[in-house]
Amino acid sequence: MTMDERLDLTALEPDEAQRELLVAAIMQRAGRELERRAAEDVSPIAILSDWMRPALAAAAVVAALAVSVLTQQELTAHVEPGSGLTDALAVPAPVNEWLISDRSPTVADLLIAMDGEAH
Amino acid sequence: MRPVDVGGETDARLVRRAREGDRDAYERLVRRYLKTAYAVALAELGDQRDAEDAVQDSFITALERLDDCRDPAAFAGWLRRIVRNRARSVRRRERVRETESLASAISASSKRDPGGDLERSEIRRQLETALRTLTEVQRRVVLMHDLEGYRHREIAVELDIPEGTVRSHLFFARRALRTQLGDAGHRGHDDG
Repeated sequence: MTMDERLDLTALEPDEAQRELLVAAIMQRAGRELERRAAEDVSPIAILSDWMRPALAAAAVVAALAVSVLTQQELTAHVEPGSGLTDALAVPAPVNEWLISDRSPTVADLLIAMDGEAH
Repeated sequence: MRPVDVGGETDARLVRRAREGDRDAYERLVRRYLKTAYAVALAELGDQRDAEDAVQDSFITALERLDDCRDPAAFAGWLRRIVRNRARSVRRRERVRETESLASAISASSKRDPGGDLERSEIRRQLETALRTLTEVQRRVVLMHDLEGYRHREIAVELDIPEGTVRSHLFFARRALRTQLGDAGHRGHDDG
């Protein structure tokens, strides 16, 4: 005999009766967890919660992208002098000029302005 | 880890079914890896009863943490780590066995062939005693090779040691066991 021969260690293995007892013991203890999983699997809340995590992750990515794009646009946007609130309120151009130059309109200015509006 | 049954559903599919609470799927995983899980536990603990406890606990832990098994196809390796950790924990604590001994349950039902069972029990007792004289790595190598059927290269990968070292551990483990056991009744077949 040489040391290349395998040792017969099969006596160390559980025999069939032992295996069955072990399997039965394990499955008995596993019962509650398996039932919990089975119940969880069919509940609508569980189904929704399965979707919630990826949906939240996707929403977070979209939000991050949106903030990034908006920030970038704000930084690069060309700001026209006199634009903004007066444009939004549809203030006529001559009035806008008076506001910017901080002077009171003359009668002539008012006539020109009214004439421009009429056309 | 060597699966016992062949040609059945893949581990990945069984794991996915078990995650959904499929009892049959988990039982098939238990049966598939019971023998090797037991060998891993025995290599760590050197005692049949402690190994049985560790195997039971490990399969329950594995089920409870099944969602943490990121790669269901690699269930075997994942389970092996759980068994090993569990066995080491048992060994550290040296806890007193409180649950009913499986061995007493077996002996109660051994009337079908008392002689055969007693003989087997005696051989097992001798083997366990002999195994305890080995170093931990020798015990793991000889059990993986001669009981689980791993090849030298596979053991080297699993234990992260050179293949030559595996052969050396196997040689010395076998020699020590043969010396302890006196050869009779433990001769196997030549390595292939």
